Amino acid sequence: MAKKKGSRFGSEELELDMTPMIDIVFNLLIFFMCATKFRSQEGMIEAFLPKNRGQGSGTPQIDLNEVRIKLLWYDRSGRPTNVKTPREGGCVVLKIGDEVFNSAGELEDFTYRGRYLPEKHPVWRKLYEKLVAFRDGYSGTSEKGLPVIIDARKQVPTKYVISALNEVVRAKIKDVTFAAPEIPY
Amino acid sequence: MAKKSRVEQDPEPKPELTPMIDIVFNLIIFFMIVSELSNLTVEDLQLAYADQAAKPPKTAGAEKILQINVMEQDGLIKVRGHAFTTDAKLIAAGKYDSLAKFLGIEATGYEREEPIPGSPGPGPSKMRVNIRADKDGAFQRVQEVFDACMRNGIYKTSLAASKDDPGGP
Repeated sequence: MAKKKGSRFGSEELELDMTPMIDIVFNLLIFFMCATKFRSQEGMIEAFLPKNRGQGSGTPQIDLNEVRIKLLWYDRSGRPTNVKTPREGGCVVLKIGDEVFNSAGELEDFTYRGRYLPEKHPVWRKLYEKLVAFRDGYSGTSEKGLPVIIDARKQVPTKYVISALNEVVRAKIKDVTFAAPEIPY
Repeated sequence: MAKKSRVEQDPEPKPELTPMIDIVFNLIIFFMIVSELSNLTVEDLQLAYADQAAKPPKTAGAEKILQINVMEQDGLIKVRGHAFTTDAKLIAAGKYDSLAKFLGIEATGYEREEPIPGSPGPGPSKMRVNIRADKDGAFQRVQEVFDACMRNGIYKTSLAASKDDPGGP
């Protein structure tokens, strides 16, 4: 608020009262601090389930051109295992058809900038390139293009499944579904 | 007399708006914090990284996406702050409600697509579901949610992911 101050020469000088402005500035500061979300930026990847499964559905149709990305669960020696976590020695092995993308333990031991970050392993780039090749060579009749199925064993940590799905989306493949849990591996 | 004349000369009193603005801002902050605390649809989880994850589509009304939180610590599934399970033993013991049953009730509020030729049941549901699962949790938990969705004809699923690069820029 401006205050009038008489001067020796009869003119009036204005003196600004800064207190209310500082009040408002502090309030704005608190407001924007609270409004800022400190949570990580979250998104979502669409992956529809098979439409022709579940309640009252018929026999699922099989496309012979479909690509099935398998996320297998092996022990360190490369044999199927029933251990529950990577700490107990479980390892993820990525496979399409007969092609194996990584050896057991390779993902779990991978470090990036001094941290264990399997999400940064080159195997995901390799998977992407493979998917692009499949997509470009697709000769099926589906309107949505190459169908891809992600088939992960139940013990596989979710981050590996998301990484595989991430590469499918990067390869601009529209028809991606998850294998139903009851499908035998 | 002199005093009275000074009063007469004073300008009309103007309302001081600063305290009101102060209070309004404080109220805004208060309600923001309260609303943040009451936001139970999204639980605090460590999501997996995916740079291709898209922002949720802006849907309104019946097309709103149901957030399903797969909790790692207690093995439960939380929807709008309410705990559900897929474990038949826990359901039979009456400890928690069945997720499949809940989804079945929720799906009734959504339209269904045309039935699939050759399938005797109703068409797939238009309901959308976003599954938020801990990145180090076993995929089996997500598969159980998938199973509950498929039992109710819900196929429009998505997985939540973090867009923050764990390896840094």
